[in-house]
Amino acid sequence: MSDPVIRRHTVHAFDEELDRLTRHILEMGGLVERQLQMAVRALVERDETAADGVIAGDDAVDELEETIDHEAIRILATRQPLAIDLRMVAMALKISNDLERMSDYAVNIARRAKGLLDQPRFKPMITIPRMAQVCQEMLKQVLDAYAARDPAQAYAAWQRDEEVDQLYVSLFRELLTYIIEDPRKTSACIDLMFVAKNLERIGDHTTNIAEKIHYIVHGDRINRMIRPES
Amino acid sequence: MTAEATATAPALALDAPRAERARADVPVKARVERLSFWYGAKQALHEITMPVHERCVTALIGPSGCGKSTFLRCFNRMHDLYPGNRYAGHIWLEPEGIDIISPKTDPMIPRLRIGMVFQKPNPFPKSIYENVAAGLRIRGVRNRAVLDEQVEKSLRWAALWDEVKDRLDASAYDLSGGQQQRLCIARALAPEPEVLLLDEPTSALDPIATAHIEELVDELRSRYTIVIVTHNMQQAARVSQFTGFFHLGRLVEFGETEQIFTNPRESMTQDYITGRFG
Repeated sequence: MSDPVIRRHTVHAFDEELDRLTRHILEMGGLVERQLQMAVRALVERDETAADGVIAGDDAVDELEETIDHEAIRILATRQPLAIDLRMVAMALKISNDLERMSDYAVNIARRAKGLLDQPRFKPMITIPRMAQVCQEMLKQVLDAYAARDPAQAYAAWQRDEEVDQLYVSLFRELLTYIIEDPRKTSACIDLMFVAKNLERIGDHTTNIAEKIHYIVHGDRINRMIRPES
Repeated sequence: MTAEATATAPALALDAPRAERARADVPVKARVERLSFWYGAKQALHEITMPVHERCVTALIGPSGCGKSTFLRCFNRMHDLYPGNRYAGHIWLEPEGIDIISPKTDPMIPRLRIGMVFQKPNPFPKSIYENVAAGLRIRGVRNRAVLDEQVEKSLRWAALWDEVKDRLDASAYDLSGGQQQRLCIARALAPEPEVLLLDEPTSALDPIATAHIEELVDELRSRYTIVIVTHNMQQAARVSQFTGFFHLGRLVEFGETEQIFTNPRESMTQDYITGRFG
């Protein structure tokens, strides 16, 4: 595209439908941000209410996904979008799916947090909050990039997944050493490993969204060679 | 044809930037090179350069008055019928490299090799049979068995045979609009042209007749080179392999259909196909 400026449609109702779709994606993203934040709080602060809140909050995310599916299908049927409009609608379907999975991972974290409530702390909680913080920053950045249709910002978020992956690998090794030292910690360590795995997956879905923003704007894929898959 | 009757192409490489998007691996049936056209003093086409790929469907899209029908009509020298019209540039018809629009080329050569179907069905006031046989009779075919065979074959190609086989002597005007359009397609196909030009062939048809014609275009592509002008974006996206977007007599973008409709390079193309124009 020689000119990235998106003009309004001759049929204004079409613009309104696309705007509504975008708003619902952003609303869903906001809910997922909150789910993730509460899940991490449940874990770090041993806050059972927060954990229950995350588990209960998943329904609202699922409902929004259904709404987005419905709206996107309706636009496809009635407007037969092409080019950037088509990419926007098709990617709304996929992004909402990524967000829905991210909320599921937050629920998993909340469940593990509940399981860990009555287990003694055997190490300071450092790496997991750090991973969670990077994931939250990435998610915020990617949602801002989506709102602004800004592939550069999306790319910046996309690159940060490397950090999450590295934290995940180092935490995994660390937890293994705890298990070897004292097998009685196995259960708690496995819970934490699953939490870390869920955060790592949340990071992956965030990069998926970043790739879709790039696709919406440019119509091609982010060059994967720049950051080899770990 | 004689050597004097035709201007012959030099070994030609399309050098204009738009032509870069031609697919080197797909054979070309016609090469349009810096084609300009004037209706008297008014210039309607400006230096169009693009390939027409062989056994492919090329769709021409663009707003009304953009020159796509004018462009199509250059291929069979229809503009010659009116005084004051003027061409510049070349349309090389392969494989011989005959320049269709050269004054040295007998206009009957492209007309015999290139068939055309118009927006509104225009059957002759004759029987169904005679409509289809007309092109063959002009070419001097007299043998009834040959005519019968070719009429049936053409009507089958146009997906009309089953509906008319019991009333071939009925007037073409007894047919419905969609049937008349398919009759016109059968008429164009009967002499087995190398290129078929379709100028908005389904704009006056209902969705079922439209689907029949799209199905037909898809089938014909294995034998013919087809150029179709359409205002229906989805139709262009469905039936064609290559698409050219015209605006104000210029070719704004030419490329593979999938690229044009999913990720056009020019913002003007995007504005047009997504309904953001003007």
